Amino acid sequence: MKNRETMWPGWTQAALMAILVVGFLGGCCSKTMVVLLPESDGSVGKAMVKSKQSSATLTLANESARVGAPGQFVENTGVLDVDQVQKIFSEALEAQPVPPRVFLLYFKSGGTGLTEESLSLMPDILESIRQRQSTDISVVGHTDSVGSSRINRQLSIKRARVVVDVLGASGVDVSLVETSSHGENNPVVPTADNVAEPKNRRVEVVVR
Amino acid sequence: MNTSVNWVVRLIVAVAVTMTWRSAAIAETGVEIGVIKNVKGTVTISRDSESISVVTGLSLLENDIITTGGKSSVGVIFKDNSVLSLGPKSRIEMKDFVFEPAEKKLSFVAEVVRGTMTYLSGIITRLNPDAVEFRTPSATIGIRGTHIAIQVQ
Repeated sequence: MKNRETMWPGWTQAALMAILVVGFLGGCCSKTMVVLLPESDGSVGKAMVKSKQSSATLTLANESARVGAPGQFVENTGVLDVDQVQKIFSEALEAQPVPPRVFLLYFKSGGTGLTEESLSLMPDILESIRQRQSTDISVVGHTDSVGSSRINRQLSIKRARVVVDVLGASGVDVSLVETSSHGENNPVVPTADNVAEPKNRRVEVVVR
Repeated sequence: MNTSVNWVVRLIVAVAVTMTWRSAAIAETGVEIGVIKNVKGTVTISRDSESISVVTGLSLLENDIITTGGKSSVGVIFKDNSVLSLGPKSRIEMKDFVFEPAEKKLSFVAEVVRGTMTYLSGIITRLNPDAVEFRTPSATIGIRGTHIAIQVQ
């Protein structure tokens, strides 16, 4: 009798442990939900959700899919309303950084003079730095393929510096700016050597 | 005598400086794959065997694991201009990130272990959509130039 009394609590404990372990494995961190969100301009891409059993392709704004556990089928759970998406993802969505913005500034042939059109983009650049409270700005200089690659390398450095100077003169903290230059090796429009191509005579400003 | 002591001291200083410089260099050898853009609450990065308290402006490196606590969140901008954020009680492991467009080497593989996450794609997706993959314990997710949210619970 005494023996049984001590045995039963042992069994109960084991059973409880088993339930806890199964509950933990089954309940935590195995269910997946995927929601395809619209982009800021309203456009919608595509997401493919796969499990070992099946797959589903999402193409509509706020369309969702679920996989209950490893090895189960993908279940298309339809378009969620915005409130449902907010309820689950509001904190993550709030933390999503504003995507970086890339500006292309163009130069007059052979020199470091910015085109009028590019100069007029400066206020937009300053505004996007302010909006993002950016501490990470890249300025990358490029040239077209007219002239030797050595000279173009130097020219692309000079072009990048001109842009950094203009940013500095406009009140941007230039210690936040990382400058690099690709010479003629990274064209927007690939050309043969010694071809004047205005689109390749550029400086890219990336505001993160 | 005086000069030789002087030389020994100089040598010791030189060795010490070189060693400090070397260990600093080793600590910085990881390739930067992104930058922490915002932090709320408690967010840590596990890197090798270290646990780093995350602050805005910190570099994210290959194989970093980001974990958020309750009422916490974090936002990251990657080198390819894609952005990622985590909600509370979340964990993501950066498995593979390569952004070398000139060599056509592109990859973005991350494992979402638990919690909530959003991702807005960048240049890697545009140049090679198949290069981006999110894994969870029960699914793999591929994208075509887009904005997605994933929850693992």
